[in-house]
Amino acid sequence: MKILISNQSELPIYAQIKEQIKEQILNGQIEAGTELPSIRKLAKELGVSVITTTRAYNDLEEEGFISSMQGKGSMVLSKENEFLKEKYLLRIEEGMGTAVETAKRIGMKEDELVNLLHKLWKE
Amino acid sequence: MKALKFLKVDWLRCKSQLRVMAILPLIAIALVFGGMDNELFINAYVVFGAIIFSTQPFTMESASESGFINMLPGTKRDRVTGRYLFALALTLFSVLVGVIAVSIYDIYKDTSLEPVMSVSCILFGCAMVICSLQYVLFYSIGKGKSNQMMAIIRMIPSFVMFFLGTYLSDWIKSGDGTNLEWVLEREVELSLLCVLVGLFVFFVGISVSSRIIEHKDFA
Amino acid sequence: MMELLEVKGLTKRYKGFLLDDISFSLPKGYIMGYVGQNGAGKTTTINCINQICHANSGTIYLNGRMYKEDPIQYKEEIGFIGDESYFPKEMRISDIRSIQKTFYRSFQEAEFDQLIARFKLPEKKKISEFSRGMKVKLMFAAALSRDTKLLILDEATNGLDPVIRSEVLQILQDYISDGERSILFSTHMLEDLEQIADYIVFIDQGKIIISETKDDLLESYILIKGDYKELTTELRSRLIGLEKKEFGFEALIKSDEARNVPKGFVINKPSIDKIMVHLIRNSLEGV
Repeated sequence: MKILISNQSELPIYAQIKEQIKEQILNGQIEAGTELPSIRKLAKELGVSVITTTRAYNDLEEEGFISSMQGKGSMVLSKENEFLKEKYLLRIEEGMGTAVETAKRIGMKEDELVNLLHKLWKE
Repeated sequence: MKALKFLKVDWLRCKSQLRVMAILPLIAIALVFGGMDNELFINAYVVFGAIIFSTQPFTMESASESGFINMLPGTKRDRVTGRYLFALALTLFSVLVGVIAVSIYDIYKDTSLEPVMSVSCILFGCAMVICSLQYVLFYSIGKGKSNQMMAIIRMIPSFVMFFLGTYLSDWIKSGDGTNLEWVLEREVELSLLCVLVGLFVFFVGISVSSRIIEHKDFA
Repeated sequence: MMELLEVKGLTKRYKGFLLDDISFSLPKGYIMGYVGQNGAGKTTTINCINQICHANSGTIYLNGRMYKEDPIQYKEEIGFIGDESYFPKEMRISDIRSIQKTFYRSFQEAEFDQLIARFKLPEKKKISEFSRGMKVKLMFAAALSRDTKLLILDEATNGLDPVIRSEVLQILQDYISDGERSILFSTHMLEDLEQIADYIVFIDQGKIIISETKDDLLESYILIKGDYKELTTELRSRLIGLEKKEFGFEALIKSDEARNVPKGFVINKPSIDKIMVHLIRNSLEGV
């Protein structure tokens, strides 16, 4: 696991930690079943406050990336888990919804939009 | 028992200064051999030195130490008692050294050992009274508050010893020898009285000093 | 019992100074920054917690206990690092070791020796000959070699070079890593706290102005800069601790109101420093 905190970033530190762990889970660098370092250990290693790392882990758990068990630490969940999938589906729907709405507003046809999607997919 | 621990703190703090005390008896003996008329001066001289040194812990401590000394587990009374024990230990030590020095002198000169014990008792009583008085004054002016005040207090023992000495010798001389007789007849009782008064003032001093600093900040 | 330190309604009166009804609590396993200007009342608060000062009123619980319930244990559980060395100047490390051994039940000599070696402190020198960094390290060695629950730092990192400072921050994070011990860290140098503090209590003229988690504090304000002439009265009324400068102004604004800031103004994340400066300015305006 690799986490680099930037003081120049507009993102608060807890969000930087969250996003970087999330990214590594999604691209497979952190595999499902991996045990994450404890909140306190992570805080110590990064030189940030315990509340900050707690918040990052809480958010990750809420979003279904990890599961924390009392006294047992946090485990990375499978990307394939239903909860996560649903969440992503929702996000895709949202994104596509905006795309369709915008397309309609400028009078774009359905197949034109589908073609655009094909093109983007291949990039 | 906590008080003994605080005594140790004062000892560690002052031990380098106290080494000077070791040469006091030597100086005293040299004085006597050098023609001083009364060997009991050795005794008085060494005890006087102890009284002077007993103020060392007060002169050496500073307000910035409260984060260490005041946070050591122990009550203020323990701390005060420890400080008084420092004076007691110094006095006892100096009396003992004085007795040994005088004894060596007497054996060498082949004179009587008798008056040494009563003089020691009297000196012990005086030292305890003076030390206790000084300590009460030190505690009431507070830590590092006023250097002039401290200096004045440190001069008290010299004054007391001087006036007491002058007064006593005048008094003894004034009665055509009857006063001296009166003292000599009651030598043991007077010695004991001195020791008792000394110890009494010592314990009263501890109580008074503890009460003085009980509600003081940083004390 | 989750709170390690609870201060309730602490009040202390001096000539010309009042520490006014201070209350805060610090849970086990966290670091609290106790922030304020010189003379704001930080040291007075700490002296009261340390029981060096007598509070006029208020209660202090350390690990669930008041001082008078068990004075010895209370003192055993506090480790204190001051802004200047509090060791008698004429002593040496051996004297400090000996005193610690005499007084503290939980003193571990081996641990102390290890820390002395790790900090490269000279065994033979008098403390008066130590550098400032060495004195601070000796205070840490003395405090960390006992089984304390609360570490109190009073401006302890002032004037230390950056290398030692970062070493100290690491020590502090180690200290709380088992989740059972906490740190009260008083300072007016805020960069250190910016990183590791969990809670910030901000005190000014004897009163607590802010008491919240550092993350919330940093997120609740936005720093806004711009041309003073372009300020509308509406926006002007929302600014906190406005500072007029020759080429523009600088102020804080609540984060949830930052969306309404029109273009032409620069908005930034503030540092704790900036938050403190503008909040103090604001409280002065209020007087």
